Amino acid sequence: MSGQSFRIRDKGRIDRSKPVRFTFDGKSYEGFEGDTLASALIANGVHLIGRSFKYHRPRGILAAGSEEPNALIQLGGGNKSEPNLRATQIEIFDGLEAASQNRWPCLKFDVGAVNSVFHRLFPAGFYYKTFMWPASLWLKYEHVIRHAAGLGKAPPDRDPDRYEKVHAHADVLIVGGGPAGLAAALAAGKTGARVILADETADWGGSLLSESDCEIDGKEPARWVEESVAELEAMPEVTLVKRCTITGYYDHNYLTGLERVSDHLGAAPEHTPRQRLWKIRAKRVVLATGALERPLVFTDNDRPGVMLSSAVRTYVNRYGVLPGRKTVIFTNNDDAYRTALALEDAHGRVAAIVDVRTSVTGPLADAVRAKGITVYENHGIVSVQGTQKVTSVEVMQLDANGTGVTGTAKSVNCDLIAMSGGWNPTVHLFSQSKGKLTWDTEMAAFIPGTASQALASTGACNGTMGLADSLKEGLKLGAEAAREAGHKGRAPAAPKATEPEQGGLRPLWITPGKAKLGRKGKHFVDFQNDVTAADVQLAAREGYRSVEHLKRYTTTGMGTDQGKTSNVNALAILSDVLASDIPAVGTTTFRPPYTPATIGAYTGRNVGKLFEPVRKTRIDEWARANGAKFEHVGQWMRAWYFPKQGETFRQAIDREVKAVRDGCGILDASTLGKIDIQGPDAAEFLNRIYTNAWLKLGVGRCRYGLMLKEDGMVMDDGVTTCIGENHYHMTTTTGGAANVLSWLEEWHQTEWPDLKVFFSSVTEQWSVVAINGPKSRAVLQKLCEDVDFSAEAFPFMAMKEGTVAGIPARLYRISFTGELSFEINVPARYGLALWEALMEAGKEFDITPYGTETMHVLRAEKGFIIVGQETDGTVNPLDLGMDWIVSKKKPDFVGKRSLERESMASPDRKQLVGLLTEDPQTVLPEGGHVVEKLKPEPPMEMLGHVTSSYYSPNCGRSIAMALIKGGHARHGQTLHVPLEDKVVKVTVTEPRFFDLEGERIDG
Amino acid sequence: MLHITCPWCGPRDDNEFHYGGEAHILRPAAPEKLSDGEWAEYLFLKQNAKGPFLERWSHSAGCRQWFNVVRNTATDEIIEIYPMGELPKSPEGIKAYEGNWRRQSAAEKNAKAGVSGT
Amino acid sequence: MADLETLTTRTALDPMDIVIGGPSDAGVTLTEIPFQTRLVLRGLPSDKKFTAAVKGALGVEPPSKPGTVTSSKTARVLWTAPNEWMVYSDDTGLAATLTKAVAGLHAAVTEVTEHYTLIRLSGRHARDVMIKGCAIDLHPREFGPGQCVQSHLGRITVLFDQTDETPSYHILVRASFAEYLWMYLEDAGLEFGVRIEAAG
Repeated sequence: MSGQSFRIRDKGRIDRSKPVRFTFDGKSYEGFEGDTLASALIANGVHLIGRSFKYHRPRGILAAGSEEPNALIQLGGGNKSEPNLRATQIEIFDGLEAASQNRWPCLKFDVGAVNSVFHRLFPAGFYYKTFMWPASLWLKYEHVIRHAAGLGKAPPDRDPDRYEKVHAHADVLIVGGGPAGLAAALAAGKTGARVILADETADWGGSLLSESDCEIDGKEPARWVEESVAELEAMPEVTLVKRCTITGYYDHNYLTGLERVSDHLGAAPEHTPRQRLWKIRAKRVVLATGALERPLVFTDNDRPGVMLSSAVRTYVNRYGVLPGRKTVIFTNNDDAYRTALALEDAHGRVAAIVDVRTSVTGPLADAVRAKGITVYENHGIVSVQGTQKVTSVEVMQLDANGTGVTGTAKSVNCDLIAMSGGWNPTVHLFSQSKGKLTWDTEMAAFIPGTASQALASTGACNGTMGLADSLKEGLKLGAEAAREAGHKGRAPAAPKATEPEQGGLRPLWITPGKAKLGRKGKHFVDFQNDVTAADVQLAAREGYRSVEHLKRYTTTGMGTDQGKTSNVNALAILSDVLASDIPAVGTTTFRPPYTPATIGAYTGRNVGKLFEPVRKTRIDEWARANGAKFEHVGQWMRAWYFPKQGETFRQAIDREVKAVRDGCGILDASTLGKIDIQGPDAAEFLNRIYTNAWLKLGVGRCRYGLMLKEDGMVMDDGVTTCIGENHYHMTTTTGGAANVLSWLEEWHQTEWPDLKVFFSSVTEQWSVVAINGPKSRAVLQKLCEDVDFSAEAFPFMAMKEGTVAGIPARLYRISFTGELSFEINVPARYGLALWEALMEAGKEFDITPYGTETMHVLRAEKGFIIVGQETDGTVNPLDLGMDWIVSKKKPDFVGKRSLERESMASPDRKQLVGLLTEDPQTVLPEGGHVVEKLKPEPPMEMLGHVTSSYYSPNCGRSIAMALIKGGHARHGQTLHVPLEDKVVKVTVTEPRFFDLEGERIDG
Repeated sequence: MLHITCPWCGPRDDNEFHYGGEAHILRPAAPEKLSDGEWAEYLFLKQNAKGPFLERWSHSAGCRQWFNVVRNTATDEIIEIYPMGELPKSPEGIKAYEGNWRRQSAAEKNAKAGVSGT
Repeated sequence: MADLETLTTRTALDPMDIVIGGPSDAGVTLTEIPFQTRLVLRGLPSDKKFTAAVKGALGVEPPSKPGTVTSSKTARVLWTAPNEWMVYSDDTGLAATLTKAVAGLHAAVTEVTEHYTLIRLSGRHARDVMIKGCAIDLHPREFGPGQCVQSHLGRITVLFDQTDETPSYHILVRASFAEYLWMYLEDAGLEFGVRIEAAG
């Protein structure tokens, strides 16, 4: 093929000095910079671009913009590959690799096209009717269907590209850079308002770039665009964003835009994002999104070479390519006559104009006739010849009401059909904003009605179709929006604009064929989903009368184009069957995004190391350097255990657990939540929040507390210490810290604002090292001269201030292990120094660093609960056997009244028990179900589940805790834990396993 | 994304806020005097309004202050924002407040008795 | 006993082994300011005794206008809530001074020097970096020196204020989130060029 033989010599905005080479389905082609893939393929005479979804019919290019339903492309290779891109939006660059989709083994011969031969088997709702029964076979069907259907292919691996997000604020956001949008931006910008103007294409001007028959202030439209853009660029508060599709219009004027920053460059420069997601909050929005041309619904209107009339004009004038050498125009309005004139101007022949209107007059018709072009009034196309490219059409006269044809068919040779069924204002964003649409009878289209957000629509998207009117309206609404956003200024005078005058249209929703609808050939409504007029009628007859049901049953309006070209035609046909008005039938809901968006753009840079914040303590680096294994606890990264060379997990844990009980171990407990509480009413506040009594806690004393939700269920626990007069230091669970602080604030602000108390988070202020075990006192004494560590002077549940290893510290004698234990708090910067000093001082006592796993085993040996492990929001203190911490004397505390309900003490509730396995070496899996009556296979009645389970080297056997229905009365019973490969027999016990008398606490 | 005006910090995106559910649920002053059913009404029963609804929000990512909002649940229009401890002043807010079944509940009477007693 | 001065201290970002340096024409610079004294001050702005006591200790009253900063030679005071301020100072003994000043009033002083660290982001593209992850309108018409804000930045919550027209932002971050924020800002700055500077 001689390259670019369909290029028009003297038209188009492409840069002929910059040839670009690209491949399509492996074959190399040439285009120019400024071409889209679609225009470059047309320049090379390529019209067969893809196969349709259901029937695998050959498809070409229908449109020139983002509404394209057919020409879907898989772009690039490997991990950069992206499916379902519209050839009409892809800007070509050197080395671009494009491939057609939905064809096998190749585009010209496709096995799936056999579906088309058996099309009677694929009526509306085909999948629902055929594959939903029997249900057991669905998985088999699905496998085959998914292989045969589907559009592009997902890339196989991690996306290597960079994606960005940006927050933007505007006084006025203008969507669409066509005549109305540019006018609105000029008017708003002149007031000094902060304006963002976004357009989804690579060029400013919108429809103006496609026209050669109009003038603005005596200038070519493209010239006016250039001057306007230059003026806007000179305004410091105006931001112009090209290649940015405003994809969503959400509440309170929040809009998202997807900017394709470097897609058109091939390879992005280093650190430059591929795409950028704009999150825009605008005081006012001006929608200038234009209008989309409607296809006509006629026999075999999907053949390659059938194109929207306005798209033909765009290819000719904007890209300088000829989509056909001999064109038949098929229309119901005057606009298509402009296309005829543009084609003639570009030396493309127009074979005939077929117009469904009975009588066509006016300047455009006159101009066309003057060129000698035949106009068939009151005619329709009744057949299209050529499967991979149009070769000819047959036209016939319409009958009196347009539902049938009369006379004889006339054959007209052509290689292009340019069709126009009128215009649909692009009301998608308006509708997403919850605005109400109204039906415009003259245009036969939905236009914006009542807005429900601070927005205005202008130009074609508002049904304002004339150029002069659009410019005037854009200027007016742009200035108005700026004023409403608080800026002063008037709309500049509107420029003088001229364009061919147009008459009205004749809405004819189905062009009748030679045979009954659906019998011979197909009248496509939705090209992407292969939905025909007959499908829509069948669905309506079968009772799918709601437009939303019609959509789901026939799939019309679904897919990557969301029915941009098909929706109004579909519901017009539906309303016809229902003998109802179109506005009464209504539209389906317009949902974001307007065009498909990459998941990458929504993810942005929240990938890899920035996927989720990882919180670390100041001692983390020591643990890392000393071979610790880590686990995630919420966002925290905590040392899990410290294996020595060659140790298994179990060996390491056994060693650590024994070491604590026999000598001493240290744990980094810095992650515990810490809240500083001050004020004369602090004690009263604690008394209301915790279940136990707090009014008489002396300075330097600690107390364990349990917090309930108002429903009586356990929420959090921890030790709170009185560190001074009216001054408390609360600790919370690691995961509960933020929740507890919010909880305290909420109760204080919303229920007890009269209480004088303040809360501040101090979690990371302190590094906390817990030293546990009978030798811990001896280690500490080596490092601390100013504290008397004797059991009498420093009793359990006391706090002292002192100096440890030269560091000012608070020492809390509290214990989560049942051993003699101190939690040493130092300013965080000294955490590592403290840890290292303790390790050094503890050498002679074989001090052992341990992690969260050993902490869990030790506390489980003692039967201490962990909130979130033994509890799940449905567990009350009585269930846990913790009646001892619930005050009977206090008149009220949060959760008290709920706890007093009879059912809360019901013996049938799930209660915390211990479980001992028959074989002491068997360690139950946490989460294992506990049953009383074994059956050969599930389902079995479940009594509860294992909440904690470990091997306890100190007990010499496995231990477990479980929440079991009526558990407190079951001590001594034998129950079963059925597992995948065996059943474990267990005996119910108290949930305590070691040091039952609590003799070890003083060391 | 809603735009909510924190009475202190000004308009912010809704993801800075924590939703606190229905507003003006007074905590009974003498819970022990309520039957289980009456207590459950206080604790669990919420109004599921379509239209103006009185609710609590906290500016959790900002100044951590709680405040009340009258929001139309059907349109997400924010009609009024007012401090904790006060009642709505907008006609929609007043209507929603007075029309709430809770005004007649035993729990609210219990709470009010407690308030007037102090 | 060891002298406090000779002990190993670690900032929140020390474990990252950050390398000082970068291109001189970088669009943004990043600096950790680790151990400046930071205090949470609580009290009632309507209480004249309280505001006077604070002024006595800090040389300036706490700002009553939300989102603003007051400064003196001793301290900078950032509004964080109607009864809460963040105090920045180089005076390591300020917690004691301020606690003493407000003693007997309904007020509280909590030292949070180590609970946070501060990252300074400065340079001609500093605003461009900020708005990638922060939904606050930082346009000069809306936000400038003397103003502070608490909001999201990336996936975390921070308090920051603008300190000059460069612009420079002082971002206060919980110590455990500092590593995340540093990586986030450094990554966000790549397209503009990033230089790391030492505090001082």
